[in-house]
Amino acid sequence: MAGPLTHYFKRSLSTTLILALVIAGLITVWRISDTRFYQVSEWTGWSLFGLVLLLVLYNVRKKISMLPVGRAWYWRRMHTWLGWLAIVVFVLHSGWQPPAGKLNFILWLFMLIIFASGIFGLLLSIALPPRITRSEGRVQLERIPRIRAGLLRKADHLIARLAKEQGSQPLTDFYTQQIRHYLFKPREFAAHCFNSANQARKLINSLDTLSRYIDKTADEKAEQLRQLIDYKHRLDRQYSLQFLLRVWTYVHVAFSISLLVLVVLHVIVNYAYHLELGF
Amino acid sequence: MANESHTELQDRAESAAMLHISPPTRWDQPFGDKQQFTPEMVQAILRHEPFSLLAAENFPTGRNFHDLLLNDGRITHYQRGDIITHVGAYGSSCFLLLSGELRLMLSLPEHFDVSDKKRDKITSVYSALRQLWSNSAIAERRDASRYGKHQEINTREADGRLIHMVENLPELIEAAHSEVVESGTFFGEISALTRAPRAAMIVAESDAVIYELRWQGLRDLRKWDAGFRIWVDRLLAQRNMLPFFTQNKILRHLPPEQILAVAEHASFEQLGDTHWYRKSGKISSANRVNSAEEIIMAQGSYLDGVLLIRGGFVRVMESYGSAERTIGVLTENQMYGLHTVLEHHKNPQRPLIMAHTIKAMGYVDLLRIPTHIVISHILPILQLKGLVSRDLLEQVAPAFEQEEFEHRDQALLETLLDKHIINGTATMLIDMDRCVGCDDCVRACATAHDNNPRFIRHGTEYANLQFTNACMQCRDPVCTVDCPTGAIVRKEGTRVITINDTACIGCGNCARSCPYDNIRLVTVSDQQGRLLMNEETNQPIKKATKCDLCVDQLGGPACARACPHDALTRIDTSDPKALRQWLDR
Ligand code: SF4
Ligand code: SF4
Repeated sequence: MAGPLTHYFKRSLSTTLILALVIAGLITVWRISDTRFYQVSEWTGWSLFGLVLLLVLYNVRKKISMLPVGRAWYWRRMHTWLGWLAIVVFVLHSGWQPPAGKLNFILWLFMLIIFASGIFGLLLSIALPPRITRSEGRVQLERIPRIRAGLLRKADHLIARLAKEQGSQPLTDFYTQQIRHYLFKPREFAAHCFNSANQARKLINSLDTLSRYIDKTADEKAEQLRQLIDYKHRLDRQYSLQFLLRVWTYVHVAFSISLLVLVVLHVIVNYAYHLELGF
Repeated sequence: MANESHTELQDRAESAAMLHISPPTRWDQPFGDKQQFTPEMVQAILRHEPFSLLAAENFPTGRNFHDLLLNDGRITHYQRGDIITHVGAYGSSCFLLLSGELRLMLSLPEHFDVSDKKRDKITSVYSALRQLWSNSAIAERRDASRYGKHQEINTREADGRLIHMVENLPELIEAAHSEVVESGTFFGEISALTRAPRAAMIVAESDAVIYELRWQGLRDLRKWDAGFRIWVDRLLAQRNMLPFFTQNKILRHLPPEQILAVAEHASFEQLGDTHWYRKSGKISSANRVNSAEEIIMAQGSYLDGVLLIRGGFVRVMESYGSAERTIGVLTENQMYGLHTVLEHHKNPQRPLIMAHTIKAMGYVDLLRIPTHIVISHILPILQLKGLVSRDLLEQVAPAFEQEEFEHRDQALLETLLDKHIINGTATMLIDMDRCVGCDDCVRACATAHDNNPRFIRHGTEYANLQFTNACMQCRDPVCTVDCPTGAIVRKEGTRVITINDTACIGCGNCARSCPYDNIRLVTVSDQQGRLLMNEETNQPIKKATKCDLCVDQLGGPACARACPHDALTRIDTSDPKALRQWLDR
């Protein structure tokens, strides 16, 4: 994990420095305006609003891929750096505590979720692809359900043939009670993400033990089942890592769109309140 | 082991488990119908140059040029309006006009354009953006009225082949800039000898009889008969040398008369197998090109001249351990041997000896320029100050000879060569260490192409690199060889291979020929989403589709622009510098 991350930060060194300078400048302006009782919440608020709009533009860029508006790669980098900046402005705008009022609190919470999912996604997109490439049997996420169904069909067929030929109670029982259940759908999602999945190993060990009670023909089938379990293990790992890599964007985008609506509401409510107070 | 298998063979032979047949020979399947060649027809062919120059005594015993002419040639009877060659199409034979008249179309009028209007270049931001709402949810929708009745070009069958014909020839002749080709003219040799696309469309202006000789026959006639070779090579030099030399960044500095002098002394050679892709089947992760590579020159042999590659790929190898390893590859417009000649010229003690073995990968077309001509004509350009920089020299003639030549990642190089990926001028390369599988590239491609992406995001893998299944716009586009209608061609002045949707008859020859499996046949619907069916066969109409590098879009390949992780590029895989730069980015 450290390798790709270090590489990423080394590549982004100059941009990080520029960003640090901009943030330092922002904080200085904030301190000056804060001590001089300027409308701090106003300028930080409008800056944040502007940043949110710019951040959302990245998603618009994805929809207009047919226009020569620069490579999505540059847009994404811009999106990342503006995201870091937005976090700082958000803190300056809202202070360190949750705000009072229901709408403001929801807004604050959504912001946190978006920032957290963004940072999480950034780290995943750097760290996971090399892991996925290096773990065996890479296949596209969309193809995994079909392959898994194929594995199950193969295993069912194997046991059905065994039953038809001569039958082997211990193996058939073990298959219906445990192996079939394992092959049926993705297993150990979290464990695969942390590289600690071991259900397949347990099943294979149990099959090894079972070998003592079954004859040669059944043992041959058991060997084929071992291979299918092993394949399913690799497939599950691919599924977990690739799914994780994709699912965070759904959270990030869904909350971002809702946030945009809430931000507009927030602006309207605040201005209405100020007008009422005669500011 | 050998003995064992021999005994085994004998045993099987004795037990009558074998059937003895005569071994297959070169002309088991002649190019055309040999019955067409009446004695008068043969006489007619031999009346015209260059065939009139053939002399039986120049051919070794057992070889007869009549056999060559009859087996590697065919006669076609064209009708007025028939198209003999399509501009941009791939041709591997030359022609002799025996009777009748032809028209060489130097330019085609715009209204004669048979291309699919929908695929014309998008020129405004609005028309690019319009694809967002004008693209139908139904993939591969077509304007059915473009097929059939509105075409300027029709087809007919003749001599067992599909022949394209121009509907309104007088109108075309009036509108186009054209020249008459008279009976007795020999033409088409440039494509036959250099695998270059046809430079112009040629149409029959009257009924015409044409003798067509495929390149294998042309190669052998040139090989055995010096008179024939000199005549053909001179014609090629006149018609093609000037444009060819001007493409070479060093030789373009030669004055025209010197170019002709070099061409006069140089010999054209074709090596390897033009149909290498047929033997290999589809190239995949598990499968590699398995055609044998012909040795051009072996390490340690005498270097009699500099080789200038006109087409195909040359593998450069050196002895290593108990075998040979590849240290580089040369392609179009690159030279081999220039550094050795240069060193020898500076210091005559240094021998003119091949430092490497060089082999033809698949098919190679080259020009051998004798050493004395290199010394008298080419070296002076190199010595002119400021004309040829070190970088340029390195680009045109990589210094494999020099010890400091930097060996590239050997395994990557071997993968590129084994799978013939080196052929790609715009190979889609994905860095799997960066790809997050978001499919933004696939979606961008679909938006630009009738809602159907023109590639599949998987392919041959090497370490963290994926050579994705997208058309690579090959240097040697073998997909274009067998297209009966000239629908798949290289777009003039570019590297892009495009498919003319209107002219495509969905025969699937291109898809079968592409060794990389990068062409798909799709069913198409009309604007209302109704599946288009062939009224005669009641089968769905199919069209060949593939990546066209977004030639019609603003801003180039949408896939590369859409990748948010800088994981995808389109790259010339035969350019080691570009490859290295991208890998080290
Ligand atoms: S379709 Fe295949 S053979 Fe033709 S240019 Fe593309 S990759 Fe090469
Ligand atoms: S857009 Fe880039 S990251 Fe996304 S799938 Fe394509 S190559 Fe991979």
